[in-house]
Amino acid sequence: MAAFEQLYDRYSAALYALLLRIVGIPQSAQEALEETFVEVRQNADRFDPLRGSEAAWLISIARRRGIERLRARPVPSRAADPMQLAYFDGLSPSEISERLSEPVDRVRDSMQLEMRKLRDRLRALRQ
Amino acid sequence: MTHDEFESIAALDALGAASAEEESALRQHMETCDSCRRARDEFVEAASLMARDLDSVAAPAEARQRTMENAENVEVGETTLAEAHRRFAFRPWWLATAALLFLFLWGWRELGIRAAREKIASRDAEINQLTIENARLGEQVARLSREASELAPPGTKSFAVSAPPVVSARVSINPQGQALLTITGAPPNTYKLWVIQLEQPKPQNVATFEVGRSGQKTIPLQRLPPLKSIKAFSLTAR
Repeated sequence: MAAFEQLYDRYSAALYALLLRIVGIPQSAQEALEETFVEVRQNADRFDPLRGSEAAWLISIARRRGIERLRARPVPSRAADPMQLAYFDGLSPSEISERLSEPVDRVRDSMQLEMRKLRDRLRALRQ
Repeated sequence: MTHDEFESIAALDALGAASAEEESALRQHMETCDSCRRARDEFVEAASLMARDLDSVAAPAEARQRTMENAENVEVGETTLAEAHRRFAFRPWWLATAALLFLFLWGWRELGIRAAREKIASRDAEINQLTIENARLGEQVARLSREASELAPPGTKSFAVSAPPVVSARVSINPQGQALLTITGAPPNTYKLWVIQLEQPKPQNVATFEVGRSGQKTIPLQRLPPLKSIKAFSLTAR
């Protein structure tokens, strides 16, 4: 349990910020945070260090929990960037296309390009 | 679908923006394609940078309290994250694979070394055999040479012939001017005997002949210049 508490203390602030950004409501963000850590505790043996970092694994669980809550009780988003709309609001390329009045293909191309930029940034950070 | 196309889908999938069909095709492909699976994992890691860019917000203390209480009551996975790290390092299959690989490489190396040693030993034995044979032939040549000298009539002039390595040759000329060439240890080949005269710079070919597998030959020489003009003999192989 001590290791779990350390894990919570190390990542809870970052995950809470992410959940607040996604669901927009503190109470809902706290509940999602609790669900996230419970899931982490239940599925710790599924974490594979070869496939990615501990932080990325926790973030992916928290994001999924947040998006599930957001879909149950949507909160209007003011984002105008396809990447933000996909990652924080869980919108599909066609929904983003409608929202931004852009062709779907252009939205997808833009997202793929931005993801490659993020990957380059990650590689630079690793070096 | 090409790997590049799967990589583009992996970029969208990391954002949760791939279609259900694309996601399914990618999952299926990743089961057999390590490079695309690694590309997808890297995109997931890259996407997490968007979350990490947010300013941290401390969660309320009661959230921590509730999380710990809930965590106490849940059925815990086999291990904690830290243990997952450790378990990975000591996974039995991982160790077994590494051990098997090590044994295979070690065995392969040992077999290679053993074969090389046997080859060297075989060559050493061959060299020893040839050295003994060479010494025996050398003794035989010396003995034959002595016998020829003893049998030759008084006044016979004998020339050691300059010859290729391992070939021993001698020209004997008796007082009547009869000449005899004896050769031993010559590999099978066609040879030429040349005479070098005192005042004749150009060597003169006086005999051309074959030597068979025996390596020995004795031939009379007919066309020699006068004995007093002979400086030396030389034997060449074709």
